[in-house]
This record gives sequence, structure tokens and C-alpha cells, in this order.
Amino acid sequence: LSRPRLAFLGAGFAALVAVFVWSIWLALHRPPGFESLQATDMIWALPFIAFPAVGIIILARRPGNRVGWVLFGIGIAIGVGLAATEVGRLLSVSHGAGGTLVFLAGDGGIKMGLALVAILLLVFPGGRLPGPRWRWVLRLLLGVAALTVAASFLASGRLDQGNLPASPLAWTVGGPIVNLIDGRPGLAVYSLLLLCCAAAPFIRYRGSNEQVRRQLKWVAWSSGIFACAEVVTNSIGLAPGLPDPVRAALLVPPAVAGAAVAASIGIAVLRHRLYDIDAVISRTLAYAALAALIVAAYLAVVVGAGALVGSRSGSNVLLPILTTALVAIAFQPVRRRLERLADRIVYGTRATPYELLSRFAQRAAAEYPDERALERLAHALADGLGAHAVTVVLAGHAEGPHHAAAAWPPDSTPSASSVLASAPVVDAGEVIGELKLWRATPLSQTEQRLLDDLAAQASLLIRNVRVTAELRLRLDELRASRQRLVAAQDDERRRIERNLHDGAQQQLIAIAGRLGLAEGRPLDPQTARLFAELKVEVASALDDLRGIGRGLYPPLLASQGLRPALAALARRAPLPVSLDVSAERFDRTLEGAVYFCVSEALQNACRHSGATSVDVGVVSGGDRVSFSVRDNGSGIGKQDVAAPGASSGGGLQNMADRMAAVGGGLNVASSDSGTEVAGWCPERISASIKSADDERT
Amino acid sequence: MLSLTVVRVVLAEDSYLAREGVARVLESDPSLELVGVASDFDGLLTLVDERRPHVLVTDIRMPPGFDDEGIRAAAILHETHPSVGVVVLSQHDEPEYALRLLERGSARRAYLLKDRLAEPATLLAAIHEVARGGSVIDPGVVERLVAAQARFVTSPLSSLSAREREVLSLMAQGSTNEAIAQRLFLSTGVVEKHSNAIFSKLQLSEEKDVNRRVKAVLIYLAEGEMAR
Repeated sequence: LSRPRLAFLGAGFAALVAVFVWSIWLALHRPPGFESLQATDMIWALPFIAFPAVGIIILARRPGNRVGWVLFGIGIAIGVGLAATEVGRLLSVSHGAGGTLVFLAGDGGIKMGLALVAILLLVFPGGRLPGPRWRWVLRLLLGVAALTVAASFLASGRLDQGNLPASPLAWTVGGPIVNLIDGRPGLAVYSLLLLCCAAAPFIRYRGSNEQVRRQLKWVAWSSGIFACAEVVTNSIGLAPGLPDPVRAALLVPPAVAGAAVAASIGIAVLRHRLYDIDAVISRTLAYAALAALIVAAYLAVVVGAGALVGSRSGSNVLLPILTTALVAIAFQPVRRRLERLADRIVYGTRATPYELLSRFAQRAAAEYPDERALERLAHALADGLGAHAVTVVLAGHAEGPHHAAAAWPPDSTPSASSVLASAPVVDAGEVIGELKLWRATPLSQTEQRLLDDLAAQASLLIRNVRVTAELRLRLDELRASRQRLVAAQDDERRRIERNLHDGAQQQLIAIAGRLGLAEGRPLDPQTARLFAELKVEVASALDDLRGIGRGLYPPLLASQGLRPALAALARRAPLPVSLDVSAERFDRTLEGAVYFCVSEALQNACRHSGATSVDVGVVSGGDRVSFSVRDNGSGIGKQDVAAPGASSGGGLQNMADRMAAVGGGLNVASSDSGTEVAGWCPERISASIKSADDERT
Repeated sequence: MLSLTVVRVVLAEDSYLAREGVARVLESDPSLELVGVASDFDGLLTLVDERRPHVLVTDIRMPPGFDDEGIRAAAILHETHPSVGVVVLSQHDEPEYALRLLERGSARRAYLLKDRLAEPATLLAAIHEVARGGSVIDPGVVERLVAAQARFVTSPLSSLSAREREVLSLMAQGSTNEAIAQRLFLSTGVVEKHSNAIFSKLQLSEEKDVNRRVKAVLIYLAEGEMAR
């Protein structure tokens, strides 16, 4: 705003203050016949001086914000109106009805000033209406106010202002119409409009961002205090027989609270970013409740105990002392409780900054370091700082250096209007990550410091998460490579078995065929005997080759599955073997692992245990396949079970490795009455994929 | 259609050496005529469609899968060409394969180990048996089964006499009572008596039809231990 205009405004404000002072002086020196006032009665005017004062400051700082003009207007309307009513009273003595007109004009000014207060509700805090439709509320409000003022001029003989004569403009013919406007119907419409205006801030609150909400909260806070002051003052004022100084003092709190409303409007418009209204509200709630409790405690002890003890002399001195002691003792714990309660009411799940920091530190130390922990961290951060999106970024993440390792809310995308705040997470001089948060308003300096502190606290957790992730990755790689090794080994065995079958075996068969052809020919006995011997040798070589092929990878296992393959295995065992094997088909690697483990365990049982029978079982269910090989032999040595790598247990170690490679495990239990080798692994490929598995070669 | 003098044969075998070996054995029998040779599963089916043989002699394991294509071909032919006999030549001595071959009925089916090329007579006899509607299971497979079953005192087979075991083994190979009698130099009546004794000792319901008897005995031998 330009200097001259500023000077002009200043002069205007000075004049306004002068008008207020003058009208108060007039009010205190009213002519006889009018109600006389005390100086303290005029304290109600204080807020109406505060309003234009704040208005001037807003106009100076934010010339574009109409709130300033509205505030200034309230001051002018009330001040000038006040002065005019007093002047009217004075003039009525000398000029009669002319004075009434001046009084009515002043009264109209005050009415318009109150209408402006309603308009203030409509346009606060930005100086604009909540929406285009609200123009109609504004117009109606102004129209009805003007009509009411006009009606007060036209009304006849209804002035309850002491010696003031009736309005000379009284319109007797239109009396009913005037009464309609000036009477209850008009009042009802006016009240409805005021209600609309009062609803405007609530409607605005729902649809606005964090910044506007904070501004509204400021005024809601001061208005709440004002309302409380009014309620308390008026309730106490009802008590009969109060001394005059007390009555005068009762007027002070509402007036001061009204002025505070003006001040809060100023803060809301100009400085709201500097102060945390939530903290202010929280403290106010806590101390108000505390004050109420102290008063209640005093009353309870003094009145209650006084009634019990009776009004013996001496007790009057003791009781207040006792009460004070009680209050002093209870004060600290009650205050702490109340503060915590107030925090919870105001911040909700949002923690106070100190709480957030300490909780965060505890978590960082105790949390199991996985990526869920990062998400919980982001969650805590979002709650604590009132952000609508938080991401935790890890440097050198597998998905790229700026990949968000965790976010809260999950999969959230920050809206365009929000502000980004961030803090690097540093561990031993290396930037290992970043905390990013999006919020409607920028962080205050305190909050940014808090975020930096939190980032420092988070470094331990983030480093642990990184280490854990790396370890898990490495573990996964190891597991996969072990699985690949086993699968490759099985494939290699199958390949060799096939080569054996297609190569050496076929050649031997061809030789057998040619030997067979010689059968029908005339041979000398020696040659015939040689041929017969050769045939036997070829047959036994073929038998050997079949055995080798089966040992490498039984074709029956690949072609028909575990049950037939294990049946064939059992048939060759030197002991009776009873089988209870699921007929299902499983993943090839799984079948291979189970087959070789059962085969190994069966061999152990037949060779070492002195058993007379073996039970073999393979069952599937609950997403896992398990097998057991149980003999009734003398058991294997304890040291073999405990350390499968040693002596005869080399096979056990192989079996354990084999099951581990398919993600399962092996259990060996041995006693004097026999040994049980049991293993399990997850069933990853169900029987339904059997055909597809068969197609594969 | 069916000539009583000449049996038309299609041969399926992917290994050159084995194919030549089998072909020579077939050529040595004037009552057989080799009408086509295939080297894989699809070629086999096409050839049977085209040449209408009486008997298919096939390897068990062939391209494309190198698994049990011979047996699968037999199952398909059971539907499409029920009159064609199938002799599966195999290197697997496990009865599971033989039982699979007999899954849809044992008539006109033979399961022989490839070792039999050294005994051309066995192979040729099997081809003729199948062409006549009979069934043959390689004695090697059956003997292994019987031996495996009879090892343990707990097995019902251990209650059979040596002669009864011989009879059982021949029944499992597909022989008729007459053939068994001839082979063991017994009268048919004695063989029948043995047969009754065997079925009652093993608690099997007696099966008069020879083809079905093969399967029943084979299943008993293969799964006797398991079926509890």
C-alpha cells in the first residue's frame, strides 16, 4: 500500500478511535430521562476498536485481502453508529423528533456493523466467498439488513429508549408491512441468514487444504474462548446480590476475548505459519480443564467438607489450607494427564514432535529390519508430521537409486498442490537414503529440524534393512543356484542314461541279434559253444548296462512317477519292503529328490541295520510332500545321526542336502528298535501339470 | 482279408543297428512279410494306417519323447485298429511297462525284452502268437517277478511248489494250458490241477480266459507285495 494511503488509513483509524472515545464520553453524560451508564459498562466497545485496528494492519500487509476492509468497516459502522445514537439522544432534548432520526440512523449503523461481522464469517480468511452461490446469501443479508433499518424508521411508537419521541417518518398505513419486516418474521429470516453465515467456515474447512484449515482453527479457537467467556459471565451474572465491582469485573473477560478474536484473525491472515495452532489449542484445552478441575476441587472441598464439619470456628481457616495442599499435590500428575489427553484430542494419532522422536528411536533399535519396517517408519512419519504422503528412499536400491523402498500410504502419489520436504539419511558420511514427505504446507523450522533428527535416527534402521536385503538376496541366489545344480545334475544323469540306452545298449542288442541269426546255421560244435557263451555274456552285459542306467536315473521314474519307480526299487531290495506311496505326479526335481533319498535310505536299511523288513511311505498334503523309510533294525549310531557327515552317514548328509536343495528338510530318528528317515519338501507343482511335465523331454 | 499264410508286419525302431537286427530276424521267417519301417511315433501311426499290417513290432522308446511311445501307440491302435497285434520290444525289465501295455486288454499284445533278438525263435513265435490273438510276456520279466516275490517267507508265493511256480510263470508269459503241458512234458489234466492249486493258494479267482489270466497273474506278481 502506498504511503499516502497508509497515512490516510492511519488518520482514519485515529479519527475512529476519537469517535469511540467521544461517544463513550457522551454515553456517560446522557441527558436526564435516559439510562445512565458507568465507565465499565462501555468496555464492550473494546473489541470493536480492536477489529478496525487489525483491519488496518491487514490492509497494510495484504492490501488485496478484503477481510481488512470488512474489519475496518465493522469499526466504522459500530463507532459512527454508537456516536450517532448518543448524539440523537442529546438532540432529542432540544429538537424532539429530529433527534429520533439521528438516533435511528446510528442504530442502523450498528445493525449494519453486526451484519458485517456475519459477512466476515463468509469471506474469512482469503477475502472471498466459499463459492459463487454464496453471493445470494451475501445479497440477501445486505438486503434484509437494509430493509430492517428502513423499517425501524417507518415503525410507529415502538421506541423503548426512554424519552425519545416516536419517529416522525412513522408510516401508519403500512404498519402491518413494517411490522412484518421489523417484527418476528423479519427476525426469523435474518437469523436464518446469520446461521448460513455461521455455517460458512465449517463448509470451507471441509473443502480446503491444511493452510486454510489452520487459519480457520485460529479463529475457531478464539471464538471458542469468547463463547466460554460469555457463557461463564452470563451464568455468574444471574446470581442475585452480586456487588457492583464484581459485576463490572464480569464484563471484562468477554470484552478481552472479543479483542482476542480480532487478534486471532490478524494472526490467521498474516502470521499463521509462525505458530502451531494445534499446540496452542492443545495447551488451552489442558489448562482450561485444569482450571475447571481446580475450581471444582475447591468448591467440593470447601462446600462439601464445610457442610460435614459444620461451621465451627477455626475450620474456616483450615479448610482452604487443606484444599490448597490437595490441589498442590494433585497439580503435577493431573496436569500431565490432561496435557496428554488434550494432545490426543488435538493431534489425534499424530504424535507430538517429542513423542514422535522418542518413539522413532525406540523403533529403529527394536525393529526387525525388513522393508515392512520402513513402511511402518513412513507411517509414523506421516502421522507425526501430518503429511499426506511419505516415502523412504534407499540409495543403491536394486530398482534404481531413487526407487522408493517404502511409502505411506502405500502406492500413494503426492498431489500437485502439496509441498515436498526431505532429509537425507547419512550413515558414516555416506548418504544411504532419504526421507521425503509431501504436505499441504511447508514445514516450519522446528518441524524441519525434527525431520532431520528423525533421518539421523533412521540411519541405523535403514542400514540394517540394507544389510538384511543384501543377505536375503544372496541367500536366495544361493538357494536358486543349489537348486539349479541339483536340477542340472539330474538332467545330466538322464542324458547319460539316454546315451547309454541309445548307444552301447543298442550296439549290444544288434550284436545279440546277429548272434541269434547264427543260430539256424550249421556250425561246428566249438563255434556253436563259443556263440552260446557270447550270447550269455552279451545278455549279462545288457543286464549290467540296464542296472547302471537305472542307477543314473530310472526311466520308470521319468515316465511313470514315484509309485512305479519305488515299486521297482522295492522289488530289487534284498528285504521285504512294504510300500504306501501316493500315485500323484510331482515336479521332476521333487520326484528325483524323493526317489534318491528313499533309494539311499533303503540301501542303508538293507546294508547296515540288520533289519528284516522296511516300510516306505510317500504322502502329499498341505502343500508338501513327505516320505519316510522305516526299518526294524538295530538302529544307527548316535554319532551318525548327530553328525551326518561322519562315517556311514555320508549318505545321510547327501540326503539332507538333496532335500534342502528343493526347499525341504530331513529328519533321522534312530533307536534300538529301528531307524526312521523322514523328509519333506514343498509341493510346488501339482498333479494337474503332470501332462505338461510329460511333454517335456 | 487276413491271410493265414503270410503275416504282414510293420517295424518301428529309431536305432539303425537295432532296426537292421530285427529286420534280419523277420526276413529269416518266410511266413512274415515286412511291409514298412518307421523310425518315430508319428511315422509309425501313418504307416499302420497306410499298410494295414497284421502285426506291429515296435521299440518302446522313440522320438519325439524317448519315453514309452511304443506303448502309447499300442493304446491308440486299440481304438483305431483293434485287429492289429502289437509286439513291444523293450529294454526295461520292470513289469510296470508290461502292465501298461496290457491296460486295455491283453489280447494281441506282446512285451519282449530286446535281448530276445539273440533268440530269434522267441521273437518270431511271439509275432505269430499275437497275430493269432494271443498274448506274450517276456519270460525274463516274469521270472524276475516270481523270483522277487518268492524270496521272502512272508510271500504267498513261497507256499507254491517248484513245479507250481513254473506253471505260474508260464501262465504269466501267456501260455495256454496245452502249451504249458507241452513245454513241461505234462498232461493237460495235471497242468489244470496245478493251476487250480495255484489260484487257491494265492487266493485269486480263477481265470479261464488265457489272455485275461496273463494280466491277472502279472498284476498279482507285480503288486502282491504292495497291495495290502
